[in-house]
Amino acid sequence: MSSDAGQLTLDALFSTRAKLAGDGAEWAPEPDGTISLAYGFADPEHFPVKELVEATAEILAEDVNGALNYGPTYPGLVKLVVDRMHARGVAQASPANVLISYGSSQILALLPQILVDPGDTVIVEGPCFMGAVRSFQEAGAKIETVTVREDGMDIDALEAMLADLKSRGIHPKFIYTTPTFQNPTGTLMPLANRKRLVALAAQYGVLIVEDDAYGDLRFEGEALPQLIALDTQGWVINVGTFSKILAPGVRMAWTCGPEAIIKRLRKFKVEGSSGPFLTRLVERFASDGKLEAHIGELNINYRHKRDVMVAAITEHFPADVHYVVPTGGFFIYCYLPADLPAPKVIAAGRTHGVSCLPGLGCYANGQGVHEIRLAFSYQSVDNITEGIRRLGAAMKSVRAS
Amino acid sequence: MISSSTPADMQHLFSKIVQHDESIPPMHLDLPNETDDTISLAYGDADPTLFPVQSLITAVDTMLTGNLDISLNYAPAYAGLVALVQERMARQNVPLTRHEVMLANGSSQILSLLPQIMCDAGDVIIVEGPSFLGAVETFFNCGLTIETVPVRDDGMDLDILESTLARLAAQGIRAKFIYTIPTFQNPTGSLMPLANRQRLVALAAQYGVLIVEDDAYGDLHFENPIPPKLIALDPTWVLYVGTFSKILAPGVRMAWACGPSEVIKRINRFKTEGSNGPFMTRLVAQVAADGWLDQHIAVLNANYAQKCQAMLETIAQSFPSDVRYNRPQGGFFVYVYLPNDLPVSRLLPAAIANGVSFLPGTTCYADGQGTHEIRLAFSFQSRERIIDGIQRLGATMHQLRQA
Repeated sequence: MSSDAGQLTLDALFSTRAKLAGDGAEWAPEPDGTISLAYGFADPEHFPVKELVEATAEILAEDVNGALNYGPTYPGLVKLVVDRMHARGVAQASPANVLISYGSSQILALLPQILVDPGDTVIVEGPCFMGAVRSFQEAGAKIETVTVREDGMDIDALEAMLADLKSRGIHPKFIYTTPTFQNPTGTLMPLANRKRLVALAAQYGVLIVEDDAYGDLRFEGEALPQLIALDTQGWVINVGTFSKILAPGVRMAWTCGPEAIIKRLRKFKVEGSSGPFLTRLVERFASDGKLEAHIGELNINYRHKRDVMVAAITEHFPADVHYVVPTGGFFIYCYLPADLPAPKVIAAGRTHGVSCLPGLGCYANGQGVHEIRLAFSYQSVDNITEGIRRLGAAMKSVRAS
Repeated sequence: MISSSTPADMQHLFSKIVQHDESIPPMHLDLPNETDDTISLAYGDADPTLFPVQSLITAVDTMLTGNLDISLNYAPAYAGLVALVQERMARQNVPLTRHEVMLANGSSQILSLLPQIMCDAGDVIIVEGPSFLGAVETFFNCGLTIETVPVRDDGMDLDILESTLARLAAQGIRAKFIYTIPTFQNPTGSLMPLANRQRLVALAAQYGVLIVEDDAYGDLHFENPIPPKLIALDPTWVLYVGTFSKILAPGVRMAWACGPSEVIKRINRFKTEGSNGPFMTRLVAQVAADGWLDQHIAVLNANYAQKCQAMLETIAQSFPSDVRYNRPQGGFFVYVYLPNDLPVSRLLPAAIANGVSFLPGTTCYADGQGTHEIRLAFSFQSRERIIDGIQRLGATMHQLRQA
């Protein structure tokens, strides 16, 4: 007969993995009147509304059953991604090694599922996009951090770390890097470093996860090859997204890499396709060169906003605040002087009606106390100028106190 | 320096869960695609002539005109869609707090995440036999021990369920969950009566086992009112899964789960992509608003009832008289029990040769049963093609008998 019902709790039913997982973070809204420079939201003035409405009508008129019934991810969208990869010199891209997903965060959360057992080592940049790092940590990964310099990940430090780990019998699973317009620093890894990074990965048998979220948002200079374009032996997974070049709200991204990885990601993406309707909609919006034209418009807009932010920083920040002017992406990253720790600046900023992301939130190892990230992507030009003015005033108030 | 490492050396990088997953052989099902010459009665696709094309176009236009930033930027799933689900559930005596409901990219996502949050390898779960192949395959692939309880004309056999639970308890095993489709079950179309529903939730409470109530077809009833949902009878041990696939369109990939907040919280946690995003959630809410969805469901039910009737009438005229089948009052499927001399292994190739296909019962069981059972979907095909397809299938059965 059954045991005493009074002792039967629901909690006892959960899997070990579920019990180990934390509760997760909740989104905290900011007070009214605050100019938020904290988050890398897209510019809502430049969402392609008319194009999306037209694309909806077109895909439903052309193949209503294909768009609305059960079905796979639209092969046309896979082809569009493959064609774009080919155009960037990624000759190995094919439908078999491209996976469409619900946002790149899905890929970054699935990767540790297929690659990481608790205690495994993963190498990340510091600072970097912590949303990804948190999903690695939840899988039980031990995080090793390599510092980001003005030209991206410090490859000397990476090489020393790989050698040290190897000497201790530790085989890291992957290196997570954003070589192009890095989040949060906006840095661009030069070609020589890219080649060296890819060679190191092959030498040590470690995967590179190349987060290329900002790769298309290039304001000036020549495009550098993606790491995956330099990879001849199959050690690079490239993760791209429509979030910055179409709209974050459609939740559509892709990944391209060794088929051995992609086929397993495909299997662990438990819901199967990314939706016939949505994938057709995105393809129709992007097809026939429309996406590239849209990216051209976005880059004119974001470059202008960057220039406005740089001008405001020059005018309003103390001269000993350091930053590198990014040539693409969404962010300017500031290194504050010793007497302006970010927590104090952010607290003062709050009373001045401006917010930004503390550098502390971009490291897995507690660094970043004197660093802040400023997003120029979302706010209007006027708000950027006013927000930077307020933040400069906040810094001066900290210094005066 | 150039290394001798090659991609073939990558195996050491994969996690244990991948290695476990790949130790399980995949299931294969190779049926011909729908063509002008082949009438597929295999899959429970929705009727494409009933998709609300104009409503969707209008909804995209409206939502993007009015709520540009929150529709397209980084944002959580639209709270208005959660509220719409809460309102629909409350009308069916299932009041829910915000923490007891979540949205997902199709109910298959929820069903696939369940083993992740509920089960360690080797844990026992209980499923109906036959059942929804997608869910069964997922559970199978997770390495779970699957106990199968037969489905009768009135749904899951609760005597056998009770003896299974008692046997497991005697072995010190507490099953993690019972996966059931009490309303217009896939594939049998059976409907569990009220008394059985009450007994089922009581058994779950007695043995401390979660019930996973898959209600994909709950709104698709043709005539009589249907008994209360399991979660309405006793929410303590029930996780309910609903979907917009059958009542709006499968292609929008939008479903919901509701139940104990501890379970909802954990499914959300393991949903790797985070929220469903503002665009699709607003779109579905915009289409469904102001009573539109209820009107649409009424239109769907009138259509599906007609097509079900056409299939049943043609079966009565065309199939040998010793073929048994259910007469569903809702859902998408007629389930057929074949006589001994007409196993699926004989019938399927001959039927495909005659231009009609169906789902073999074997794909609806985790344990190899179903060799003399087939599922026929009346949802997708037109009335004319249903009649044509069933006549071809009946002719195939008579041919096989004469051969």
